[in-house]
Amino acid sequence: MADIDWHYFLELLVSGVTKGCIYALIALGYTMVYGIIELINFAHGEVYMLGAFTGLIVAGVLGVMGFPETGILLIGGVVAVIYCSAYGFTVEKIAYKPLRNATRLSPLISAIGMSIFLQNYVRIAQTQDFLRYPNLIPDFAFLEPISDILRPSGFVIIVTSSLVMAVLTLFIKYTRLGKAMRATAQNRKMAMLLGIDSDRIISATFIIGSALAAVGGVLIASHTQQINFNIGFLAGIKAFTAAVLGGIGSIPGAMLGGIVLGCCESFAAGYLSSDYEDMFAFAILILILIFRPSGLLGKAKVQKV
Amino acid sequence: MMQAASSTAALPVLEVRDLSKRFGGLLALSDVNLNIHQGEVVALIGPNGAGKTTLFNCITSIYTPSEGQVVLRRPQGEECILNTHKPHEVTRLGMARTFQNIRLFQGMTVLENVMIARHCRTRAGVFGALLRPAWVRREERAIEEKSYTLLQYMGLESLYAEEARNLSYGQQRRLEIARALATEPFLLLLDEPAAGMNPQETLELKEMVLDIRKAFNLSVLLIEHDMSMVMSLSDRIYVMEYGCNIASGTPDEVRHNKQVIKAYLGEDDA
Amino acid sequence: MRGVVRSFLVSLWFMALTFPIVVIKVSSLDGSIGWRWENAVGIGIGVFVVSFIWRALLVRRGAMTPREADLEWLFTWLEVERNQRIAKAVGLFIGCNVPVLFLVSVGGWKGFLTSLHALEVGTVAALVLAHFGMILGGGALRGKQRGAVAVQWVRQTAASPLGRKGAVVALMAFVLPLPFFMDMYQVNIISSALIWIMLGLGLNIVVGQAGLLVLGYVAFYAVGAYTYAIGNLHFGNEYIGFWTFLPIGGLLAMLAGVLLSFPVLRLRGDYLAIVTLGFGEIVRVVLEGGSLSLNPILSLLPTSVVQALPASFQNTLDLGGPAGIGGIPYPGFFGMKLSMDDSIRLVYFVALGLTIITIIAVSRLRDSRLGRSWAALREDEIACEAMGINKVTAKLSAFALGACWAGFGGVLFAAKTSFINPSSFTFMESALILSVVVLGGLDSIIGVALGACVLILLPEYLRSLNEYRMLIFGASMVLMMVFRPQGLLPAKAIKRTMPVVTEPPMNEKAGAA
Repeated sequence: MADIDWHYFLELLVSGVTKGCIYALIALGYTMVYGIIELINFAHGEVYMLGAFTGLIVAGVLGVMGFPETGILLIGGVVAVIYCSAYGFTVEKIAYKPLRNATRLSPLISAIGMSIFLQNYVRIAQTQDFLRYPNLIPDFAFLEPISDILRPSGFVIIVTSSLVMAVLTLFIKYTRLGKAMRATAQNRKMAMLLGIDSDRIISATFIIGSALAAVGGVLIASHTQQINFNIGFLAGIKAFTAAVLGGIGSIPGAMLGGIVLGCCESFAAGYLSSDYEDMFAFAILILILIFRPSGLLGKAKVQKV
Repeated sequence: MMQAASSTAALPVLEVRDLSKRFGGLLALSDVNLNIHQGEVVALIGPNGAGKTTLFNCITSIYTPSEGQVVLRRPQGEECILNTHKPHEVTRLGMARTFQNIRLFQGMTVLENVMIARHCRTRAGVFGALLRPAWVRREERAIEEKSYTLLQYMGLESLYAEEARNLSYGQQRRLEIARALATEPFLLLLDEPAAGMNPQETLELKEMVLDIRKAFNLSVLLIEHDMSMVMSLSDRIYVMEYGCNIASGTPDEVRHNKQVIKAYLGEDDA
Repeated sequence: MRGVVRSFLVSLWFMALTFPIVVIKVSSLDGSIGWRWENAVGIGIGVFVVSFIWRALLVRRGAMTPREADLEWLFTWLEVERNQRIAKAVGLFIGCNVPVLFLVSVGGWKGFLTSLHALEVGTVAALVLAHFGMILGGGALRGKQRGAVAVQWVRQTAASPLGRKGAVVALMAFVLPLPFFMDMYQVNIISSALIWIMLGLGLNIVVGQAGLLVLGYVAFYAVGAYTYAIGNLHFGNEYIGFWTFLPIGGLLAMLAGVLLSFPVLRLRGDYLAIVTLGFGEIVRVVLEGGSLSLNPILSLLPTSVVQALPASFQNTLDLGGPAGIGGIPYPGFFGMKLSMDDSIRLVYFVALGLTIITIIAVSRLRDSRLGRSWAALREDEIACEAMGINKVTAKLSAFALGACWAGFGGVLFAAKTSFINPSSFTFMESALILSVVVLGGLDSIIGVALGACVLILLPEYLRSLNEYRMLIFGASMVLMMVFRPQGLLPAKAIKRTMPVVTEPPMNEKAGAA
């Protein structure tokens, strides 16, 4: 293997990192929720899809009103974040809160039901066809020389998600709410005894997770330029895989897991076969769960008897 | 080793040799030794967090010991080193246990709880279940009868159709023992059987343990905090603290052991 | 009053929440914007009403106090017995008319009338029955005589063995001649409902009995269907057909179940769910990819065997890709030449027979040593092991048997539709089977059968509902978990009459030892 095609390699790497950033953004929502209430929030992928749709609708309305493109992207993103936070909050109140003390299977089935509901809600209220997403990302002049490797949208994705993740890390580490969240994730009962309102913390977790998913939704839609009601399903599973890969419950783990998964997928599709691109995520998921269920950065738990 | 207390000529039915268990950096058990002879009631006492339940879990193979051995000698004469066994194999070899935080099958009836425990002594499989030949029907009948008899013995027969979760605390404890007995053990491990019981119930429990030991030809190892029960019930006592064996012997010996007093009452009072 | 304000605020919240998706519509063609304000109004009114019902139900479930729900007035009013009866009657009336209300609200009066055209015998009968039941219930509420007698009669009949036998005979007398009186379209629909009962009961073994949440169940169904389709393509002749592939499909699906269960044996509930989901998707992607390399398997076989295989099995296996495989024959019947109609009838009878066998098998499994070990596994894994049950065997057998039934269902499905493609085997199908089980009642055989009939037959007959089918399924899965996790017809403990055993157990034991 003397002559590696470095250009091709870089191309794959960049596209992997781009995809990985999106996975990481969604995976954060999974991992945070799982860390606190040990639930796989199946509806999380749907929140991401709702984010993309809200962004599209806002862009459509503003476009008719004649706003400039960059303004549309910003406003669309902000509105999507607000709406998705509200959706995350509402979903938790309806489908999970009444089941706080139920058996393990109940909230999981409820989550699947919620996911199916949200998908079909968008399908019926909007359309089941693919919608073209407007190109809202300006061409950056400084990206010209490497435009065949890094598209402007990819650049925006990488920069925005790095920023968002940095903010999140600081938030979790230093703010009162962030500390309360970490405490609740460690031991919910104890945190409650110390005067932390666990219902509020859970709501906050859902809101933050959904906001991150919304950012991911708007970004990926501007990147791939088409969406439909179904995009949340696959993205959700892949993001979950990323969360497990990084070690579920671990926030840096989700970020790392997302990027590793994105790169794995990209390289596998590039060097092996693009037909089965979606399969690699599942294959990786199954392999991790068998050989290292605690993930890259997670800790193994000892079951109490 | 203090083996003088019980002067049985035969080898112990259960022998724990230099057992250690590590969780990450934490040494939960270090070099624990313990013997139980045929027919003995042995108690394991010690302050909370001393590693008693961890030792139970190592003995029943729910945890794998980091070092040391657990040796089980069956009445049939074979000797098994349990370290690499799975929990269900241990039960099949003849060691049954109850749990500190009761682990009944809450959604199932009292009778079914006991019937499940007959699993390892019966053999119907998929085809037996689907085709139901005569021998399977007979086996099922025998399971029901045997389980019912055990419920009678524990005084729970009138509740047989009740869901386990509806039972009172004391009844649940008894049901757990009935369930353990249904696996036909020769060694019974009880993890805090009297926890949450009132003095009257505790007294009855003590009588019951002595009863079943005789009736079922058992040896018993129990963890218990109720000192009056431990002292009057057990033949020998092992005392643990911080994952180590600090003393063992007859109730009298343990009662007067300096180290035990220190562990229970603190440094200054010693 | 505070209750009204609260419901109003909730409805405002939902109107705002659904606003962009439900009101604004961006055209996919020219990017023009449509505003659908009527939807916002509908949602506002709907949520206002639902929020009262939601809170009242939460109070009844004990999750809230009337005070917390701002419904003190309602529950004070309900303390009077007469008011309770009124409330029940009103509730029953609304409940019976919900389908009508829903259809009207979905399609307007015009839509409702067109959907009435599509209403077939069954649905009309169901509506009539619902109203009849309501009158009956009303009678029971008024005087406790007529209605109560009828209800009691049903209960007693269901309890006595003779009554149950009678019910089975009556049911058989109804379903056996059915295909001779209905048109073939109807017969086909009922056959699919029967297949779904089988699938539901098969999944129930894994999810309901053993408590292992499997989300890729459709993969096993696909294995069965493709076994028949591909097998028929390469080996099919007048001797080797449906009846040969039925057991083979079941066995191969079982094999797939065992293969999948090995890696997932150690996983806990939710990880298991996601891995099986992944497995289901992998199977679908492979089917869509169109070909499967057989070399890894062939390299294990002796060369003489490989050379004996047909050419199409020599290295890659053609799976038909997204276009699928067609020309799958109906089941044969002792080599007779059957007309199209008779073949469809035969499929119906085969489905009926297999369903009956499934019901018998599943109920026998439930009341057996194996079934008890699954229940123990579901209730408490650690205690289950402490009872001497091998967790691995229990999980493996649950997986294998559940998958096996999906395989049978798949073969039958392929025979029924005579054409299969990967779009019949998506995650949505898995979710549908799961909702059959959940809706009917985990671990309840009659419940699962009822769930399958409701979920498959209702949308078939209520065409205008079809678009809303998945929406309603999703919502009902959530609602069931919140308000009635045990399902429509919850499982009952197995009844046992106890022998009077007098001999003390110690004699027997002492003798043995």
